[in-house]
Amino acid sequence: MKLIIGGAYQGKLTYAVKKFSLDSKDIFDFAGGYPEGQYACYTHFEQLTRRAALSRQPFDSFIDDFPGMAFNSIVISREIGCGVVPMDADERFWREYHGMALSALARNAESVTRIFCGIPEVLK
Amino acid sequence: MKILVLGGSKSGKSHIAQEITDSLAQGGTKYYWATMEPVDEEDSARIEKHITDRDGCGFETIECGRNICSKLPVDKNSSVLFDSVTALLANEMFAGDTPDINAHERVVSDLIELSDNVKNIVCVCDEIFRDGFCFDEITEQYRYSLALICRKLAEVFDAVYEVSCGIMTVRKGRLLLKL
Repeated sequence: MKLIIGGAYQGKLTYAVKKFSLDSKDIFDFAGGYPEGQYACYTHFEQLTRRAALSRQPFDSFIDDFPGMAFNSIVISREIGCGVVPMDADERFWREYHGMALSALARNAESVTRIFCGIPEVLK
Repeated sequence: MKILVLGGSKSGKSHIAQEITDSLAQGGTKYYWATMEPVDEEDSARIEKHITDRDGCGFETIECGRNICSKLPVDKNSSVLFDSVTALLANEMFAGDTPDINAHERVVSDLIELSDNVKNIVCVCDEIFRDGFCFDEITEQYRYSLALICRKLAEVFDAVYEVSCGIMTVRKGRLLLKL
């Protein structure tokens, strides 16, 4: 799995589409629900962790079930942990859940790339 | 030389941008392009701090927070420290009764025109993209617009630096000075 992270609107998907010659049918957006079948690329991973965190899905089962993990896929996610710790308990729970999920993905990833202002930086 | 300097709040980006502009100017005219339009005492205090920081550094100040191409420097050999893209977008986007969601296109073309009319430009911008907070639609539109501006400038400028706690990381181009 190749993990691509970065802040909001930094050009993560644009980078992935160009780098891996992706077509729109290759891309699944977690903002639109849960995928049926496999895709080459999954984007907005933070939307998936948000739903899982808010429904208090056990973390281990979330990672085990994640469709992007087992295949040679590309996973794109926002980094969301750099702001002020939220007052709201659900928001805090999501933030930590997402941070742990990205770490788990990164451990299994063959590469981790951070996009800053459209510029890629290879972290792993 | 065209440079974009990005960093979080109080990361030291303005100070570093000032040193970069200073070294690029090599004795030529240096302008500090101030964009903040103060609305309260907190803003005024922030402006005072920036003025004190620049005191004795030989910068001439241009105060213009919107429609920047109306104030293009006559001296094409000058160097401009533009502080900040963040404030310029806010001024351009929220000038009217309703937010102008196309303001970023104007900001990009204006900044590129300004950069083409001077010898050196160092643009300072806030990094506001790694927060998980879910903002309202207008704030989110502002974040998106600012990101588009930064990505475009990063593409066409010679160098991009990120500043964290006063430390500079080169994201594009080369390091111009040792700090």
